[in-house]
Amino acid sequence: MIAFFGLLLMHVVGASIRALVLGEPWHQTLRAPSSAWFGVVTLYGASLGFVGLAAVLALMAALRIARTKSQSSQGSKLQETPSRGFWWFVAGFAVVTLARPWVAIYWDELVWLAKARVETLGFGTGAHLALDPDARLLPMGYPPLWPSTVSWLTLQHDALEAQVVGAALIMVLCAASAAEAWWHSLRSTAVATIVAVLATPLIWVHARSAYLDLPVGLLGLAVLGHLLSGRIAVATVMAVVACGFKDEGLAHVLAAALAGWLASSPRSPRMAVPALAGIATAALWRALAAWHGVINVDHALSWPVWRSLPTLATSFALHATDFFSWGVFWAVAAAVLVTPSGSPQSAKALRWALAVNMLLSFAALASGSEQVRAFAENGTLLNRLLVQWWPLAAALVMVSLSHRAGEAATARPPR
Amino acid sequence: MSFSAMGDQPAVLDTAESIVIDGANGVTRASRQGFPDASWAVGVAIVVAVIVVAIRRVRPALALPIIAAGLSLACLPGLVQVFFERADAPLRRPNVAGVVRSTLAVLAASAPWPAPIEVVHEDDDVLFPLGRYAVPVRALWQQPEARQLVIRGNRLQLSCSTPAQGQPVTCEAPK
Repeated sequence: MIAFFGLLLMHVVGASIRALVLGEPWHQTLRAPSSAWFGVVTLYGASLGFVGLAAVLALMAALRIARTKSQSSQGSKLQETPSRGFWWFVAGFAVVTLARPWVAIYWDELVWLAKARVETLGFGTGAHLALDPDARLLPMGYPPLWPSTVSWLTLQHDALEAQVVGAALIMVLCAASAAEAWWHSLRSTAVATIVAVLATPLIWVHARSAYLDLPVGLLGLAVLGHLLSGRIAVATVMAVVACGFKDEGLAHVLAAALAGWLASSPRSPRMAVPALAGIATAALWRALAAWHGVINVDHALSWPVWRSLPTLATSFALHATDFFSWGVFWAVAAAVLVTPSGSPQSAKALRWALAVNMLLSFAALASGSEQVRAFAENGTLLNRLLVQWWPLAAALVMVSLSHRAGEAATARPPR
Repeated sequence: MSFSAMGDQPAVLDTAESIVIDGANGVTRASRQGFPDASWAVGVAIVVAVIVVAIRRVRPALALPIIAAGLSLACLPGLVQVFFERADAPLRRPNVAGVVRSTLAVLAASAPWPAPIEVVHEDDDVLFPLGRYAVPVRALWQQPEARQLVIRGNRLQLSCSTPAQGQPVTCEAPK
Protein backbone atom coordinates (compact mmCIF):
# COMPACT_ATOMS: atom_id res chain seq x y z
CA MET A 1 0.00 0.00 0.00
CA ILE A 2 3.01 2.24 0.39
CA ALA A 3 3.11 2.99 -3.34
CA PHE A 4 -0.48 4.30 -3.26
CA PHE A 5 0.50 6.66 -0.47
CA GLY A 6 3.64 7.63 -2.40
CA LEU A 7 1.58 8.45 -5.49
CA LEU A 8 -0.82 10.54 -3.39
CA LEU A 9 2.10 12.40 -1.88
CA MET A 10 3.73 12.95 -5.29
CA HIS A 11 0.42 14.20 -6.67
CA VAL A 12 -0.14 16.69 -3.85
CA VAL A 13 3.44 17.98 -4.17
CA GLY A 14 3.13 18.18 -7.97
CA ALA A 15 -0.24 19.93 -7.78
CA SER A 16 1.23 22.47 -5.36
CA ILE A 17 4.21 23.16 -7.63
CA ARG A 18 1.88 23.46 -10.63
CA ALA A 19 -0.38 25.87 -8.77
CA LEU A 20 2.62 27.93 -7.74
CA VAL A 21 4.26 27.98 -11.17
CA LEU A 22 1.23 28.32 -13.42
CA GLY A 23 -0.97 30.33 -11.08
CA GLU A 24 -3.81 27.81 -11.37
CA PRO A 25 -6.16 27.28 -8.41
CA TRP A 26 -4.87 24.50 -6.19
CA HIS A 27 -8.22 22.68 -6.09
CA GLN A 28 -8.09 22.47 -9.89
CA THR A 29 -4.51 21.25 -10.14
CA LEU A 30 -5.38 18.59 -7.54
CA ARG A 31 -8.07 17.23 -9.85
CA ALA A 32 -5.73 16.90 -12.86
CA PRO A 33 -3.68 13.66 -12.93
CA SER A 34 -1.00 15.39 -15.00
CA SER A 35 -0.11 17.56 -11.98
CA ALA A 36 1.89 14.70 -10.44
CA TRP A 37 4.51 15.07 -13.20
CA PHE A 38 5.46 18.51 -11.86
CA GLY A 39 6.63 16.75 -8.69
CA VAL A 40 8.43 14.03 -10.65
CA VAL A 41 10.31 16.57 -12.80
CA THR A 42 11.36 18.57 -9.74
CA LEU A 43 12.69 15.47 -8.00
CA TYR A 44 14.46 14.38 -11.20
CA GLY A 45 16.32 17.67 -11.39
CA ALA A 46 17.28 17.44 -7.72
CA SER A 47 18.48 13.84 -8.14
CA LEU A 48 20.91 14.91 -10.87
CA GLY A 49 22.69 17.30 -8.52
CA PHE A 50 23.35 21.01 -8.87
CA VAL A 51 23.15 21.08 -12.70
CA GLY A 52 19.84 19.24 -12.74
CA LEU A 53 18.36 21.36 -9.99
CA ALA A 54 19.42 24.54 -11.79
CA ALA A 55 17.88 23.22 -15.02
CA VAL A 56 14.55 22.38 -13.41
CA LEU A 57 14.41 25.74 -11.62
CA ALA A 58 15.11 27.47 -14.94
CA LEU A 59 12.33 25.44 -16.55
CA MET A 60 9.82 26.33 -13.86
CA ALA A 61 10.83 30.01 -14.00
CA ALA A 62 10.43 30.02 -17.79
CA LEU A 63 6.99 28.41 -17.50
CA ARG A 64 6.01 30.96 -14.87
CA ILE A 65 7.11 33.88 -17.06
CA ALA A 66 5.39 32.40 -20.11
CA ARG A 67 2.22 31.91 -18.05
CA THR A 68 2.28 35.49 -16.89
CA LYS A 69 2.67 36.73 -20.47
CA SER A 70 0.10 34.33 -21.88
CA GLN A 71 -3.26 35.88 -22.59
CA SER A 72 -5.25 32.66 -22.51
CA SER A 73 -6.37 31.30 -19.17
CA GLN A 74 -5.34 27.68 -18.64
CA GLY A 75 -7.58 27.42 -15.59
CA SER A 76 -10.75 27.51 -17.62
CA LYS A 77 -9.45 24.71 -19.86
CA LEU A 78 -8.59 22.57 -16.88
CA GLN A 79 -12.08 22.71 -15.42
CA GLU A 80 -13.70 20.70 -18.17
CA THR A 81 -11.38 17.67 -18.06
CA PRO A 82 -12.14 15.49 -15.05
CA SER A 83 -15.69 14.18 -15.34
CA ARG A 84 -17.26 11.16 -13.67
CA GLY A 85 -16.75 9.06 -16.82
CA PHE A 86 -13.09 10.01 -16.86
CA TRP A 87 -12.57 8.78 -13.32
CA TRP A 88 -14.44 5.55 -14.11
CA PHE A 89 -12.04 5.01 -17.03
CA VAL A 90 -9.01 5.61 -14.80
CA ALA A 91 -10.38 3.30 -12.10
CA GLY A 92 -11.10 0.55 -14.66
CA PHE A 93 -7.61 0.83 -16.14
CA ALA A 94 -6.11 0.74 -12.64
CA VAL A 95 -8.00 -2.47 -11.84
CA VAL A 96 -6.80 -4.14 -15.07
CA THR A 97 -3.21 -3.05 -14.44
CA LEU A 98 -3.02 -3.89 -10.75
CA ALA A 99 -5.07 -7.11 -10.61
CA ARG A 100 -2.12 -9.47 -10.83
CA PRO A 101 0.41 -10.95 -8.42
CA TRP A 102 2.79 -8.14 -7.52
CA VAL A 103 5.90 -9.94 -8.72
CA ALA A 104 7.99 -9.04 -11.77
CA ILE A 105 8.04 -11.99 -14.18
CA TYR A 106 9.43 -10.60 -17.45
CA TRP A 107 13.12 -10.14 -18.32
CA ASP A 108 13.33 -6.35 -18.52
CA GLU A 109 11.01 -5.83 -15.57
CA LEU A 110 13.55 -7.39 -13.23
CA VAL A 111 16.55 -5.66 -14.81
CA TRP A 112 14.90 -2.23 -14.62
CA LEU A 113 13.44 -2.73 -11.15
CA ALA A 114 16.98 -3.59 -10.06
CA LYS A 115 17.77 0.05 -10.81
CA ALA A 116 14.82 1.08 -8.63
CA ARG A 117 16.40 -1.02 -5.87
CA VAL A 118 19.58 1.02 -6.13
CA GLU A 119 17.64 4.23 -5.49
CA THR A 120 16.47 2.75 -2.17
CA LEU A 121 20.04 3.27 -0.89
CA GLY A 122 19.41 7.02 -0.84
CA PHE A 123 17.90 9.86 -2.83
CA GLY A 124 19.82 10.35 -6.06
CA THR A 125 21.84 7.12 -5.71
CA GLY A 126 20.17 5.69 -8.81
CA ALA A 127 21.33 8.58 -10.97
CA HIS A 128 24.71 8.69 -9.22
CA LEU A 129 25.46 5.01 -9.87
CA ALA A 130 24.02 5.19 -13.40
CA LEU A 131 26.77 7.76 -14.01
CA ASP A 132 29.44 5.49 -12.52
CA PRO A 133 30.87 3.19 -15.24
CA ASP A 134 32.38 0.91 -12.59
CA ALA A 135 28.96 0.17 -11.09
CA ARG A 136 27.90 -1.56 -14.35
CA LEU A 137 24.26 -0.76 -13.75
CA LEU A 138 22.43 -2.32 -16.71
CA PRO A 139 21.40 -1.21 -19.23
CA MET A 140 24.24 1.32 -19.15
CA GLY A 141 23.78 4.96 -20.07
CA TYR A 142 19.99 4.88 -20.13
CA PRO A 143 18.13 7.80 -18.50
CA PRO A 144 17.40 6.97 -14.84
CA LEU A 145 14.08 8.73 -14.25
CA TRP A 146 11.70 5.76 -14.49
CA PRO A 147 13.41 3.49 -11.93
CA SER A 148 13.99 6.48 -9.67
CA THR A 149 10.29 7.40 -9.87
CA VAL A 150 9.35 3.83 -8.96
CA SER A 151 11.53 4.14 -5.88
CA TRP A 152 10.19 7.58 -4.96
CA LEU A 153 6.61 6.30 -5.18
CA THR A 154 7.51 3.47 -2.81
CA LEU A 155 9.20 5.99 -0.49
CA GLN A 156 12.45 4.10 -1.17
CA HIS A 157 11.13 0.95 0.43
CA ASP A 158 13.19 -2.04 -0.83
CA ALA A 159 10.51 -4.64 -1.61
CA LEU A 160 9.68 -6.17 -5.00
CA GLU A 161 5.92 -6.08 -4.37
CA ALA A 162 6.00 -2.36 -3.62
CA GLN A 163 8.17 -1.65 -6.66
CA VAL A 164 5.84 -3.59 -8.98
CA VAL A 165 2.87 -1.61 -7.64
CA GLY A 166 4.87 1.62 -8.04
CA ALA A 167 5.59 0.75 -11.68
CA ALA A 168 1.93 -0.14 -12.25
CA LEU A 169 0.84 3.18 -10.77
CA ILE A 170 3.17 5.01 -13.18
CA MET A 171 1.40 3.13 -15.99
CA VAL A 172 -1.97 4.25 -14.60
CA LEU A 173 -0.75 7.83 -14.23
CA CYS A 174 0.44 7.88 -17.85
CA ALA A 175 -2.91 6.50 -19.06
CA ALA A 176 -4.80 9.00 -16.91
CA SER A 177 -2.67 11.87 -18.24
CA ALA A 178 -3.31 10.78 -21.84
CA ALA A 179 -7.04 10.38 -21.16
CA GLU A 180 -7.10 13.80 -19.47
CA ALA A 181 -5.63 15.35 -22.63
CA TRP A 182 -7.91 13.47 -25.04
CA TRP A 183 -11.12 13.12 -23.06
CA HIS A 184 -12.90 15.77 -25.13
CA SER A 185 -12.25 13.69 -28.28
CA LEU A 186 -12.94 10.33 -26.67
CA ARG A 187 -16.32 11.48 -25.36
CA SER A 188 -17.70 11.43 -28.89
CA THR A 189 -15.98 8.15 -29.80
CA ALA A 190 -18.16 5.14 -30.47
CA VAL A 191 -17.94 2.55 -27.67
CA ALA A 192 -17.58 -0.26 -30.22
CA THR A 193 -14.37 1.28 -31.56
CA ILE A 194 -12.92 1.77 -28.09
CA VAL A 195 -13.60 -1.84 -27.15
CA ALA A 196 -12.22 -3.17 -30.43
CA VAL A 197 -9.03 -1.13 -30.17
CA LEU A 198 -8.41 -1.84 -26.49
CA ALA A 199 -8.70 -5.57 -27.15
CA THR A 200 -5.26 -5.66 -28.81
CA PRO A 201 -3.62 -8.77 -27.24
CA LEU A 202 -0.02 -7.60 -26.74
CA ILE A 203 -1.25 -4.38 -25.15
CA TRP A 204 -2.95 -6.45 -22.46
CA VAL A 205 0.37 -8.11 -21.69
CA HIS A 206 2.21 -4.78 -21.45
CA ALA A 207 -0.56 -3.02 -19.52
CA ARG A 208 -0.11 -5.69 -16.84
CA SER A 209 3.68 -5.44 -16.71
CA ALA A 210 6.38 -3.11 -15.45
CA TYR A 211 7.66 -2.45 -18.99
CA LEU A 212 8.23 1.15 -19.98
CA ASP A 213 7.15 1.06 -23.62
CA LEU A 214 3.43 1.59 -23.14
CA PRO A 215 3.92 4.42 -20.58
CA VAL A 216 6.25 6.28 -22.97
CA GLY A 217 3.73 5.91 -25.79
CA LEU A 218 0.95 7.16 -23.53
CA LEU A 219 3.10 10.14 -22.51
CA GLY A 220 3.71 10.97 -26.19
CA LEU A 221 -0.04 10.88 -26.78
CA ALA A 222 -0.59 13.06 -23.70
CA VAL A 223 1.99 15.63 -24.87
CA LEU A 224 0.20 15.93 -28.21
CA GLY A 225 -3.23 16.19 -26.57
CA HIS A 226 -2.16 18.89 -24.12
CA LEU A 227 -0.47 20.79 -26.97
CA LEU A 228 -3.66 20.73 -29.05
CA SER A 229 -5.62 21.92 -26.01
CA GLY A 230 -3.27 24.87 -25.58
CA ARG A 231 -1.77 23.64 -22.30
CA ILE A 232 1.81 24.20 -23.44
CA ALA A 233 3.27 24.23 -19.92
CA VAL A 234 1.76 20.87 -19.00
CA ALA A 235 2.89 19.39 -22.33
CA THR A 236 6.39 20.72 -21.67
CA VAL A 237 6.65 19.12 -18.23
CA MET A 238 5.41 15.82 -19.63
CA ALA A 239 7.91 16.08 -22.48
CA VAL A 240 10.69 16.29 -19.88
CA VAL A 241 9.30 13.17 -18.19
CA ALA A 242 9.06 11.25 -21.50
CA CYS A 243 12.71 12.06 -22.34
CA GLY A 244 13.81 11.30 -18.77
CA PHE A 245 12.08 7.92 -18.88
CA LYS A 246 13.55 6.65 -22.13
CA ASP A 247 15.66 7.85 -25.06
CA GLU A 248 12.77 6.97 -27.38
CA GLY A 249 10.75 9.58 -25.51
CA LEU A 250 12.54 12.22 -27.57
CA ALA A 251 11.11 10.79 -30.80
CA HIS A 252 7.62 10.92 -29.27
CA VAL A 253 8.07 14.50 -28.11
CA LEU A 254 9.53 15.75 -31.42
CA ALA A 255 6.77 14.00 -33.35
CA ALA A 256 4.07 15.46 -31.07
CA ALA A 257 5.48 18.98 -31.33
CA LEU A 258 5.76 18.85 -35.12
CA ALA A 259 2.29 17.32 -35.44
CA GLY A 260 0.80 19.91 -33.08
CA TRP A 261 2.40 22.70 -35.08
CA LEU A 262 1.21 21.32 -38.43
CA ALA A 263 -2.33 20.78 -37.17
CA SER A 264 -2.71 24.11 -35.37
CA SER A 265 -4.26 27.14 -36.99
CA PRO A 266 -2.68 29.65 -36.95
CA ARG A 267 0.62 27.83 -36.62
CA SER A 268 2.28 28.94 -33.43
CA PRO A 269 5.99 28.68 -32.54
CA ARG A 270 4.88 27.94 -28.94
CA MET A 271 4.26 24.38 -30.13
CA ALA A 272 8.06 23.94 -30.23
CA VAL A 273 8.47 24.53 -26.48
CA PRO A 274 7.96 20.88 -25.40
CA ALA A 275 10.37 19.76 -28.13
CA LEU A 276 13.03 22.18 -26.88
CA ALA A 277 12.51 20.98 -23.30
CA GLY A 278 12.73 17.36 -24.47
CA ILE A 279 15.95 18.02 -26.40
CA ALA A 280 17.42 19.83 -23.38
CA THR A 281 16.49 16.91 -21.08
CA ALA A 282 18.05 14.30 -23.36
CA ALA A 283 21.12 16.48 -24.00
CA LEU A 284 21.66 17.12 -20.29
CA TRP A 285 21.63 13.40 -19.49
CA ARG A 286 23.87 12.57 -22.45
CA ALA A 287 26.30 15.32 -21.41
CA LEU A 288 26.41 14.09 -17.81
CA ALA A 289 26.93 10.51 -18.99
CA ALA A 290 29.71 11.52 -21.39
CA TRP A 291 31.33 13.65 -18.67
CA HIS A 292 31.46 10.59 -16.40
CA GLY A 293 32.60 8.22 -19.15
CA VAL A 294 29.36 6.26 -19.38
CA ILE A 295 28.45 5.25 -22.92
CA ASN A 296 25.03 4.08 -24.03
CA VAL A 297 26.25 1.56 -26.60
CA ASP A 298 22.71 0.52 -27.55
CA HIS A 299 21.63 4.04 -28.47
CA ALA A 300 24.86 5.40 -29.93
CA LEU A 301 24.13 7.07 -33.28
CA SER A 302 26.32 7.12 -36.37
CA TRP A 303 25.83 7.37 -40.13
CA PRO A 304 22.86 5.33 -41.38
CA VAL A 305 23.60 1.81 -42.53
CA TRP A 306 21.50 1.94 -45.71
CA ARG A 307 21.82 -1.74 -46.48
CA SER A 308 19.96 -2.51 -43.25
CA LEU A 309 16.81 -0.70 -44.39
CA PRO A 310 15.18 -3.54 -46.39
CA THR A 311 15.74 -6.01 -43.55
CA LEU A 312 14.36 -3.56 -40.98
CA ALA A 313 11.32 -2.79 -43.13
CA THR A 314 10.63 -6.49 -43.61
CA SER A 315 11.04 -7.14 -39.88
CA PHE A 316 8.62 -4.32 -39.10
CA ALA A 317 6.05 -5.71 -41.51
CA LEU A 318 6.37 -9.20 -40.01
CA HIS A 319 6.02 -7.93 -36.45
CA ALA A 320 3.08 -5.65 -37.26
CA THR A 321 1.20 -8.46 -38.98
CA ASP A 322 1.83 -11.02 -36.21
CA PHE A 323 -1.76 -12.16 -35.87
CA PHE A 324 -1.53 -13.39 -32.28
CA SER A 325 0.12 -10.25 -30.94
CA TRP A 326 -1.84 -7.62 -32.87
CA GLY A 327 -4.80 -9.19 -34.64
CA VAL A 328 -5.37 -6.88 -37.62
CA PHE A 329 -4.81 -3.69 -35.62
CA TRP A 330 -1.83 -2.42 -37.61
CA ALA A 331 -3.47 -3.25 -40.94
CA VAL A 332 -6.45 -1.09 -39.91
CA ALA A 333 -4.19 1.64 -38.52
CA ALA A 334 -2.14 1.72 -41.74
CA ALA A 335 -5.32 1.97 -43.82
CA VAL A 336 -6.65 4.82 -41.66
CA LEU A 337 -3.25 6.53 -41.85
CA VAL A 338 -3.35 6.69 -45.67
CA THR A 339 -7.02 7.70 -46.01
CA PRO A 340 -7.16 11.12 -44.37
CA SER A 341 -10.22 12.54 -46.13
CA GLY A 342 -12.61 14.53 -43.98
CA SER A 343 -10.83 13.94 -40.68
CA PRO A 344 -10.96 16.41 -37.79
CA GLN A 345 -7.95 18.48 -36.65
CA SER A 346 -7.11 16.02 -33.88
CA ALA A 347 -6.97 13.12 -36.37
CA LYS A 348 -4.72 15.17 -38.62
CA ALA A 349 -2.35 15.77 -35.69
CA LEU A 350 -2.43 12.10 -34.70
CA ARG A 351 -1.67 11.07 -38.27
CA TRP A 352 1.35 13.38 -38.43
CA ALA A 353 2.58 12.35 -34.99
CA LEU A 354 2.39 8.66 -35.82
CA ALA A 355 4.07 9.04 -39.21
CA VAL A 356 6.88 11.28 -37.88
CA ASN A 357 7.41 9.04 -34.85
CA MET A 358 7.75 5.99 -37.11
CA LEU A 359 10.18 7.78 -39.40
CA LEU A 360 12.34 9.01 -36.50
CA SER A 361 12.45 5.57 -34.90
CA PHE A 362 13.25 3.93 -38.23
CA ALA A 363 16.04 6.46 -38.82
CA ALA A 364 17.38 5.86 -35.30
CA LEU A 365 17.44 2.12 -35.93
CA ALA A 366 19.23 2.54 -39.25
CA SER A 367 21.74 4.90 -37.62
CA GLY A 368 22.00 2.96 -34.38
CA SER A 369 24.42 0.34 -33.20
CA GLU A 370 24.74 -3.14 -34.69
CA GLN A 371 23.50 -4.43 -31.35
CA VAL A 372 20.15 -2.64 -31.70
CA ARG A 373 19.67 -3.99 -35.21
CA ALA A 374 20.48 -7.46 -33.87
CA PHE A 375 17.75 -6.98 -31.24
CA ALA A 376 15.39 -5.94 -34.05
CA GLU A 377 16.18 -9.05 -36.04
CA ASN A 378 16.06 -11.54 -33.17
CA GLY A 379 12.54 -10.51 -32.20
CA THR A 380 13.11 -8.67 -28.92
CA LEU A 381 12.74 -5.04 -30.01
CA LEU A 382 10.28 -4.22 -32.78
CA ASN A 383 7.09 -5.37 -31.03
CA ARG A 384 8.06 -3.07 -28.18
CA LEU A 385 8.40 -0.14 -30.58
CA LEU A 386 4.97 -1.03 -31.92
CA VAL A 387 3.69 -0.99 -28.31
CA GLN A 388 5.14 2.54 -27.99
CA TRP A 389 3.31 3.66 -31.14
CA TRP A 390 0.08 1.93 -30.22
CA PRO A 391 -1.43 4.81 -28.16
CA LEU A 392 -1.11 7.25 -31.09
CA ALA A 393 -2.41 4.68 -33.58
CA ALA A 394 -5.27 3.61 -31.31
CA ALA A 395 -6.35 7.22 -30.79
CA LEU A 396 -6.10 7.81 -34.56
CA VAL A 397 -8.30 4.79 -35.34
CA MET A 398 -10.85 5.73 -32.66
CA VAL A 399 -11.08 9.41 -33.59
CA SER A 400 -11.09 8.86 -37.38
CA LEU A 401 -13.65 6.07 -37.48
CA SER A 402 -16.03 7.76 -35.06
CA HIS A 403 -15.75 11.05 -36.93
CA ARG A 404 -16.48 9.45 -40.31
CA ALA A 405 -19.42 7.52 -38.87
CA GLY A 406 -20.83 10.68 -37.30
CA GLU A 407 -20.27 12.63 -40.53
CA ALA A 408 -22.03 9.98 -42.61
CA ALA A 409 -24.96 9.85 -40.20
CA THR A 410 -25.29 13.65 -40.33
CA ALA A 411 -25.11 13.69 -44.13
CA ARG A 412 -27.85 11.05 -44.50
CA PRO A 413 -31.07 12.69 -45.80
CA PRO A 414 -34.00 12.70 -43.35
CA ARG A 415 -36.78 10.20 -44.04
CA MET B 1 -7.67 -24.80 -29.52
CA SER B 2 -6.62 -25.32 -33.10
CA PHE B 3 -5.88 -22.75 -35.76
CA SER B 4 -5.44 -25.10 -38.68
CA ALA B 5 -5.64 -22.26 -41.21
CA MET B 6 -2.40 -20.96 -39.79
CA GLY B 7 -0.47 -24.17 -40.15
CA ASP B 8 1.17 -25.45 -37.02
CA GLN B 9 0.02 -24.57 -33.53
CA PRO B 10 1.54 -21.31 -32.36
CA ALA B 11 4.58 -21.71 -30.19
CA VAL B 12 2.85 -21.13 -26.89
CA LEU B 13 4.76 -19.44 -24.06
CA ASP B 14 3.65 -22.10 -21.61
CA THR B 15 6.54 -22.34 -19.15
CA ALA B 16 7.73 -19.93 -16.50
CA GLU B 17 11.14 -19.74 -18.18
CA SER B 18 9.66 -18.84 -21.58
CA ILE B 19 7.59 -16.13 -19.92
CA VAL B 20 10.66 -14.61 -18.26
CA ILE B 21 12.60 -14.51 -21.52
CA ASP B 22 9.96 -13.77 -24.16
CA GLY B 23 6.74 -12.99 -22.32
CA ALA B 24 6.75 -9.29 -23.25
CA ASN B 25 8.32 -9.67 -26.71
CA GLY B 26 5.17 -11.05 -28.28
CA VAL B 27 2.05 -13.01 -27.45
CA THR B 28 3.67 -16.20 -28.81
CA ARG B 29 7.22 -17.21 -29.72
CA ALA B 30 6.59 -16.20 -33.35
CA SER B 31 9.01 -13.26 -33.30
CA ARG B 32 11.80 -15.50 -31.98
CA GLN B 33 11.03 -18.19 -34.54
CA GLY B 34 11.17 -15.86 -37.53
CA PHE B 35 7.40 -15.76 -38.00
CA PRO B 36 6.66 -19.21 -39.42
CA ASP B 37 3.13 -18.13 -40.45
CA ALA B 38 4.30 -14.89 -42.08
CA SER B 39 2.90 -15.44 -45.58
CA TRP B 40 -0.58 -16.13 -44.20
CA ALA B 41 -0.49 -13.23 -41.73
CA VAL B 42 0.88 -10.67 -44.21
CA GLY B 43 -1.74 -11.75 -46.75
CA VAL B 44 -4.54 -11.24 -44.23
CA ALA B 45 -3.16 -7.81 -43.28
CA ILE B 46 -3.00 -6.65 -46.91
CA VAL B 47 -6.57 -7.82 -47.58
CA VAL B 48 -7.83 -6.11 -44.42
CA ALA B 49 -6.01 -2.86 -45.24
CA VAL B 50 -7.47 -2.80 -48.78
CA ILE B 51 -10.98 -3.49 -47.45
CA VAL B 52 -10.67 -0.72 -44.85
CA VAL B 53 -9.46 1.83 -47.42
CA ALA B 54 -12.23 0.82 -49.83
CA ILE B 55 -15.00 0.87 -47.28
CA ARG B 56 -13.93 4.24 -45.88
CA ARG B 57 -14.08 5.72 -49.38
CA VAL B 58 -17.19 3.99 -50.74
CA ARG B 59 -19.45 3.36 -47.70
CA PRO B 60 -18.16 5.45 -44.79
CA ALA B 61 -21.35 4.85 -42.80
CA LEU B 62 -20.54 1.14 -42.66
CA ALA B 63 -16.88 1.62 -41.84
CA LEU B 64 -17.23 1.82 -38.08
CA PRO B 65 -19.33 -1.30 -37.43
CA ILE B 66 -17.46 -3.45 -39.95
CA ILE B 67 -13.98 -2.39 -38.83
CA ALA B 68 -14.87 -2.64 -35.14
CA ALA B 69 -16.24 -6.13 -35.72
CA GLY B 70 -13.14 -7.10 -37.71
CA LEU B 71 -10.78 -5.83 -35.03
CA SER B 72 -12.73 -7.64 -32.31
CA LEU B 73 -12.81 -10.96 -34.16
CA ALA B 74 -9.14 -10.82 -35.19
CA CYS B 75 -7.92 -10.25 -31.66
CA LEU B 76 -9.64 -13.38 -30.32
CA PRO B 77 -6.82 -15.90 -31.04
CA GLY B 78 -4.33 -13.62 -29.32
CA LEU B 79 -6.63 -13.01 -26.38
CA VAL B 80 -7.12 -16.77 -25.98
CA GLN B 81 -3.34 -16.99 -25.64
CA VAL B 82 -3.18 -14.10 -23.19
CA PHE B 83 -6.07 -15.22 -20.99
CA PHE B 84 -5.85 -19.04 -21.18
CA GLU B 85 -2.82 -20.55 -22.93
CA ARG B 86 0.23 -18.65 -21.74
CA ALA B 87 1.90 -19.46 -18.45
CA ASP B 88 1.12 -15.89 -17.29
CA ALA B 89 -2.62 -16.20 -18.03
CA PRO B 90 -4.60 -14.85 -15.06
CA LEU B 91 -5.31 -18.25 -13.50
CA ARG B 92 -1.74 -19.51 -14.06
CA ARG B 93 0.17 -16.34 -13.24
CA PRO B 94 0.33 -16.99 -9.49
CA ASN B 95 2.38 -20.13 -10.26
CA VAL B 96 4.94 -18.21 -12.32
CA ALA B 97 5.02 -15.44 -9.72
CA GLY B 98 5.56 -18.02 -6.98
CA VAL B 99 8.49 -19.64 -8.81
CA VAL B 100 10.12 -16.25 -9.46
CA ARG B 101 9.54 -15.15 -5.87
CA SER B 102 11.04 -18.36 -4.42
CA THR B 103 14.05 -18.15 -6.76
CA LEU B 104 14.68 -14.56 -5.69
CA ALA B 105 14.35 -15.64 -2.06
CA VAL B 106 17.02 -18.33 -2.57
CA LEU B 107 19.34 -15.75 -4.15
CA ALA B 108 18.63 -13.21 -1.41
CA ALA B 109 19.38 -15.79 1.29
CA SER B 110 22.76 -16.61 -0.24
CA ALA B 111 23.63 -13.10 -1.40
CA PRO B 112 21.84 -10.54 0.74
CA TRP B 113 22.12 -7.13 -0.90
CA PRO B 114 23.50 -4.49 -0.24
CA ALA B 115 26.10 -6.53 1.65
CA PRO B 116 29.42 -6.74 -0.28
CA ILE B 117 28.88 -9.25 -3.08
CA GLU B 118 30.94 -9.84 -6.19
CA VAL B 119 29.21 -11.73 -8.99
CA VAL B 120 32.05 -13.61 -10.69
CA HIS B 121 29.88 -15.48 -13.21
CA GLU B 122 26.26 -15.32 -14.42
CA ASP B 123 24.77 -17.12 -17.40
CA ASP B 124 23.14 -14.80 -19.91
CA ASP B 125 19.81 -16.55 -19.82
CA VAL B 126 16.66 -16.89 -17.79
CA LEU B 127 18.46 -16.41 -14.47
CA PHE B 128 20.28 -13.27 -15.61
CA PRO B 129 17.48 -10.78 -14.78
CA LEU B 130 16.86 -12.44 -11.41
CA GLY B 131 20.56 -12.22 -10.62
CA ARG B 132 20.51 -8.57 -11.64
CA TYR B 133 17.58 -7.87 -9.31
CA ALA B 134 19.26 -9.78 -6.48
CA VAL B 135 22.56 -7.90 -6.93
CA PRO B 136 21.91 -4.72 -8.97
CA VAL B 137 25.36 -3.15 -8.71
CA ARG B 138 28.40 -5.17 -9.59
CA ALA B 139 31.82 -3.64 -9.16
CA LEU B 140 30.83 -1.40 -6.26
CA TRP B 141 31.72 -4.06 -3.72
CA GLN B 142 35.03 -5.31 -5.10
CA GLN B 143 36.55 -5.52 -1.68
CA PRO B 144 38.55 -8.32 -0.05
CA GLU B 145 35.67 -9.21 2.25
CA ALA B 146 33.10 -9.35 -0.60
CA ARG B 147 31.27 -12.65 -0.91
CA GLN B 148 31.69 -14.16 -4.38
CA LEU B 149 28.65 -15.44 -6.23
CA VAL B 150 28.26 -17.72 -9.25
CA ILE B 151 24.86 -18.12 -10.97
CA ARG B 152 24.51 -20.93 -13.51
CA GLY B 153 21.74 -22.63 -15.43
CA ASN B 154 18.64 -21.88 -17.43
CA ARG B 155 15.84 -22.96 -15.11
CA LEU B 156 14.10 -21.06 -12.35
CA GLN B 157 14.53 -23.76 -9.70
CA LEU B 158 17.73 -22.79 -7.92
CA SER B 159 19.76 -24.21 -5.11
CA CYS B 160 22.84 -22.56 -3.66
CA SER B 161 25.86 -24.30 -2.17
CA THR B 162 27.34 -23.46 1.19
CA PRO B 163 30.96 -22.79 0.27
CA ALA B 164 34.15 -23.60 2.02
CA GLN B 165 36.18 -20.66 3.25
CA GLY B 166 37.30 -18.51 0.31
CA GLN B 167 35.13 -20.32 -2.24
CA PRO B 168 32.30 -18.62 -4.12
CA VAL B 169 28.64 -19.33 -3.39
CA THR B 170 27.35 -21.26 -6.41
CA CYS B 171 23.66 -20.99 -7.23
CA GLU B 172 22.73 -23.51 -9.85
CA ALA B 173 19.59 -24.69 -11.57
CA PRO B 174 19.13 -28.44 -12.09
CA LYS B 175 19.96 -29.56 -15.63
